[in-house]
Amino acid sequence: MITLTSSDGVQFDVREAVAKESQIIRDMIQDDCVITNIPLANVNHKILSIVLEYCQMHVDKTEMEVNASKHQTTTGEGSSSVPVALKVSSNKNLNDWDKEFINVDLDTLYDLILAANYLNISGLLNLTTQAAADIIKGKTTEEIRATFNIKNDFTPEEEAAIRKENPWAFE
Amino acid sequence: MKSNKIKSRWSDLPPELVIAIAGNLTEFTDHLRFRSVCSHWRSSFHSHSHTLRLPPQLPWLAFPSTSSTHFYSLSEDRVYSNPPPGVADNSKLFGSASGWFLSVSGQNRPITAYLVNPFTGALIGLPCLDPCLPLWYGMVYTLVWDRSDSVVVAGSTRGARIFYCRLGEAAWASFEYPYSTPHSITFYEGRFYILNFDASQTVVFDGDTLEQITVIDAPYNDYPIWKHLFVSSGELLVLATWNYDGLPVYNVQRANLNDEYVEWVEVNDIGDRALFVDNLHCFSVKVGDHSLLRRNCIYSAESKTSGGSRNSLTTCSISIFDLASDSWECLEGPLRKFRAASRGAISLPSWVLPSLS
Repeated sequence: MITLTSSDGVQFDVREAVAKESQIIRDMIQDDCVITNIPLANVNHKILSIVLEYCQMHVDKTEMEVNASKHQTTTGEGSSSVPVALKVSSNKNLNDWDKEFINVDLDTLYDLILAANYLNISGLLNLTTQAAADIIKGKTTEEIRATFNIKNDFTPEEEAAIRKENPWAFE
Repeated sequence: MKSNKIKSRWSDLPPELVIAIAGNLTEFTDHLRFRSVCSHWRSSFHSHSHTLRLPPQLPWLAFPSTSSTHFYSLSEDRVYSNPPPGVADNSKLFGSASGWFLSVSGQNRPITAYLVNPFTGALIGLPCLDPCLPLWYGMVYTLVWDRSDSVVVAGSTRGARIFYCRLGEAAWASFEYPYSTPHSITFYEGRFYILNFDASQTVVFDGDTLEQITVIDAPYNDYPIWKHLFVSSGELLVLATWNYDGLPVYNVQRANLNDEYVEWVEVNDIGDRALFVDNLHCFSVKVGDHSLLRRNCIYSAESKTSGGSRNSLTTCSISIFDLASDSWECLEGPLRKFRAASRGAISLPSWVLPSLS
């Protein structure tokens, strides 16, 4: 077990495999194999618990698949089609789970993107940036600003110049 | 109201994460709008743009309308009606697989020409076309062209000269095309391929020196309406079309190039490719993961004019011809409700493959 401490001092005891979903933690453990407590200065307990939920799920699914393929090799050729089907359905379930998991408010999504980047969890970074992109798709610039509560900080001259470059894109 | 006072953290997102989000946007248009949200997001692209790769885009169709040139996005199935800068109301646009349009305008001399990439807003001025007589205005309706990195080569299906211009030079040059009139010009891997219609020959020119490298006999076809040459996946292909009782029929032939002679073989399956063709050019697109695109199909854009000269109505349409079943269907889309230009500007729709370079 490894203890991860959030920026606001909350401790999470997790299995090493779960913590190692993060590349940065994996590197720490590799460099110092007796390390048992890792403080994470940039992630608060609320976000860390969500991140760990993601890591836990993905580790569980991977282990299930490994077990299934072990099962396949021990039981011989005859049952080979079963684990393949299991794997497909587990991938599908995991995608569905991811989709449900990432259905969060924009503040949380922002924190998750930063946390995934800081902890270097590539699957979570892909998932979160994809979710942000999905929100942006098909929206006008004005709609994107309104959605993310971003102020238009271009001067009128800059704004005009940008629109002049691609007027058709701003209809 | 309180939320308006708090500056959103999203506008402070680290540049590499702005780019990571942008990397998940697949459409050009989403991209352009995304990078115009705020100055921080925009400047992220300047420092990190080398890490960003957009997936291949689907072709767009430019078509002149009564008000201005319109663009139809196949993947978004919508029409954009504001023309890019440099596209004058009466200009004619000739698309290409390189993402650039050749824009030609001016009924009276001088005839001005530009290269314009509507997806980046980039413009490259070209010398006026009038010194290179005899290019008379009527020929502008039937320009075929393509470009390499450094040279633009154009011709008219009504004239027996090839015009070329090195980017940055002050004038066009021209030479007599040895085999009647050029019918299609294609640049591919350092060479220009120019197909002529009547004598059924393809002349291959060096992309830089424009010296003639070789002449390939083109396939014989029994009086097609038109014929286009294109090069795809290293293959030299010719697309010909006929009109039987108002319905188009297509035929694709591939050149088997030997040392001694060339043999043309009819192709019934072009594999994981779709062809985009209009009156003046043709190119192929890999279908791959594009769920909207149909493999082994020909996407043909054309304009039709109906009615008398005083109240004629011109409309653009896209039809999809399936080479496997020899069947075709009309693409229903927002294109229908747009009236193409009926006066002044010619109403030839033209495909272009978007590119950011």
